Amino acid sequence: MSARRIHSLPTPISSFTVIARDETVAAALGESPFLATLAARM
Amino acid sequence: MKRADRLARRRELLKLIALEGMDDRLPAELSGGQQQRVAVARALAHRPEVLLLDEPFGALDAKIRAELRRTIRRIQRELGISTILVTHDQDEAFAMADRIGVMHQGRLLEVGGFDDLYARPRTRFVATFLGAANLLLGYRRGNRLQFERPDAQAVTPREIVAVVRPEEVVLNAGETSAGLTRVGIGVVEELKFAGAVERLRVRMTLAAGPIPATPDREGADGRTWLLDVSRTFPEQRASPLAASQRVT
Repeated sequence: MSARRIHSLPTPISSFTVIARDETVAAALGESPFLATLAARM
Repeated sequence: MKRADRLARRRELLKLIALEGMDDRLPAELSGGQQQRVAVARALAHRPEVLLLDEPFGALDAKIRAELRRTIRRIQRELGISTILVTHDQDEAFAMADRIGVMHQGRLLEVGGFDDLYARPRTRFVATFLGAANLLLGYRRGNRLQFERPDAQAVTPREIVAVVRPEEVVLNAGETSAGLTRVGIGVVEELKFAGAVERLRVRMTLAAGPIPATPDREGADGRTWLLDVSRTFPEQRASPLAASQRVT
C-alpha cells in the first residue's frame, strides 16, 4: 500500500516513551495530567 | 416604531425566511424547521451587527436541516451579516462557514479556511476531528519521507507525525510507483458501503510497518493496528476486494 499525499504535522514533539520500573507505574505515569496535556497538544 | 413600520418589517422578514403569508400561524401550526426560521427572523428583527447561532439545527431531521442550512446561508449572504455558528457537526461547518475555528477543552486550537484545516492541520486533534485521518510516525531526511523505521545509520532522520487521509491510500500500488510513498502491507479486516465511497479497515502489523501516532489505533493484542482506507466506486470496480484479502 502507498499514499498519494502525506501532510506532516508541524509539532515539535512527535512521540515520547514512558520508562518506569514496571508497566503499572509506566501506565500511571502515562496518565498523569502533565503527560496527558502534552499528548493532547502534540 | 409605528405599527405600519412594524408590519412592514414583519413582512420583510417573513419573505426573507420564505414564510411569506404565514403571519397568522400559531407556533404549533409550524414545522420544526419553520419554527427555527422564525427564530432566525426574530434575531434579525433589530438589525444586529453580528448573528450568533448556537447549534441551531440540533433537533431537526437531516432533510430539514439541509434545507435550513441553505436558507440561513442565503440570508447571511443577502444581508452581509457576520455570523458565528457553533456546531459539533463538521459537515455543517464545512457547508456553511467561510472560516472555521476548532475548539478543544476550552482552547481555540486552529482557525482557517476549511480546505486549509483539512489539508494542512497543525494539530493531531484537528487532523482527526475534521474528517477521518490515519496518524503515523514517519521519518524525514531532507525532502524524503519514509515509514520504514530507520536502522543503524550515520544520521538519524527526524521523526514526524504524518497525516494520511483514507482517500489518499492506494491499495496494491506496487513497490515503486512514481509519486507515491510506500506505507506497507496489510490484510483487509472490514469493508463497508458508505454511499459514494467504500470504507475499509486494513489490519497492519506493528513489527513490520509504520507505527500509529495515536494509541487508540492499536489492537488488543498489542501487535497490530488498523489503517482506514476509502475508495471511490470506479476504484472499487477496477480492483474488487474481500475481507481477509492481503493488500500490498
